[in-house]
Amino acid sequence: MRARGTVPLLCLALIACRPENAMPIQNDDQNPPAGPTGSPGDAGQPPTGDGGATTAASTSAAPPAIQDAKRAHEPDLMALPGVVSVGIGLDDAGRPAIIVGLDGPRAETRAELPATLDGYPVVARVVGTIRPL
Amino acid sequence: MPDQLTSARDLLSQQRDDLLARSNVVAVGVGYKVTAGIQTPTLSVVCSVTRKLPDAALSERDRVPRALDGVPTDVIETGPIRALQARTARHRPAPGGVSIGHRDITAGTLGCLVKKGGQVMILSNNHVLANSNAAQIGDPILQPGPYDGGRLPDDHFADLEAFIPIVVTEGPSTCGAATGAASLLNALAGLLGSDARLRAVTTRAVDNLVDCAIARPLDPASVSGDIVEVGTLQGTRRAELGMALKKSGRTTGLTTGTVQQIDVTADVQYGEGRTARFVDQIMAGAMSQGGDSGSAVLDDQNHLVGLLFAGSSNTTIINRIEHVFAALGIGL
Repeated sequence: MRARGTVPLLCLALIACRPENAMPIQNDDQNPPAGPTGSPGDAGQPPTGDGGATTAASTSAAPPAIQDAKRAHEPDLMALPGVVSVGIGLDDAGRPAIIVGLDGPRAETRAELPATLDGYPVVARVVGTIRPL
Repeated sequence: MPDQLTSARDLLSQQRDDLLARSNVVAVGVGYKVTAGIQTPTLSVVCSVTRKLPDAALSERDRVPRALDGVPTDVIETGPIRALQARTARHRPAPGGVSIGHRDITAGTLGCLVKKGGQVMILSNNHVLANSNAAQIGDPILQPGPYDGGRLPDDHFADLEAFIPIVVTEGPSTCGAATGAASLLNALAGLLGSDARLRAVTTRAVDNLVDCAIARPLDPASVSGDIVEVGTLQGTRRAELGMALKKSGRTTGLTTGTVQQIDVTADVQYGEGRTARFVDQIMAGAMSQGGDSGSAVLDDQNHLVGLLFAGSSNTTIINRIEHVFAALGIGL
């Protein structure tokens, strides 16, 4: 699955280029920081590898607010080809969701998007090119 | 039914002048009679009046008869009927929602009046009043905008007072080190069997919050606190997800929408290869087109919530009014 490999690598690159990006991920409370940025499948499975410092039993960290989740993942999302916007809205079921705006159909970018980030649905919508009016 | 309609129309053409001669009648036509608020299937001669008054308050000759040659009449109150002046026309005083622009642009929309240090200013976008950073403070602002026939010196009605520069990024990454590092890592990733690839992206040092500017009217009496088809502002409010919105703009007039997304980060194309990233924006659906930029965006109770500046075929992007006010040091 491409998304699993690509997203963390992009994260690493972006964090390396922009040190300040590392901050929002862990500044919302005093809980031990989670992995670099939660990867797509986090919700259902315990962390592996680098998450070893915290065992499943000891982590009772509340999920981040959707604003924080969106902020943490936004650099990765905006870096994907054809992504023109990232915002907070509702998915088709009316649940709070991270909405990714695309400039066109962008099948490859859609395929790279995880279904959820930090437990919040990720929804792709075609908005087209945004211009001043 | 066709017979009924023909007879009502014939009757109307005979009686039109006589009906319009009554002091209170401003329009006549044929329509279904409305009784107790419910439309009936009966065709009638409809007389529109400025104010509906009891017969006793009207002289005999100003009363509309109950029926004319067997065709019932109906009286409805429309108030005085005024010509709707085009938003692209010259307006003095100029209300919100009409055409405006820096002398070197096409046209945008006059948003609303604001105050800076007790002085009345007009609010719109940087790309409407300050030609996307290219203007000088004091440059002339025309109403209507140049595209709508505004010319110097006759239509010069305000001077650019202040604008918040838009930080634009030109083209893709030009950082050689980043591009080189990405190539190297991509080569390594290939050797290691990973199909993930990096590409260098340009980091934007500054995210934009607003595309806004203010202009000082040459004469405070040449502007109006009204907004076309909206009325007066009732204060400000913070936009929330799902909030009903409306705007009054030069091109599409009065339109409505809802807040579909908040906390929006969006890349806006200010020209070929010139992208400006905006953060903490409001996104609504299709409620605007080119020329609507600068429109004041209100909730359904006329609270000002944002300043319209960008969009696509199916979205509208709006600055939060709290950011606009803070950036320019203005208020209502």
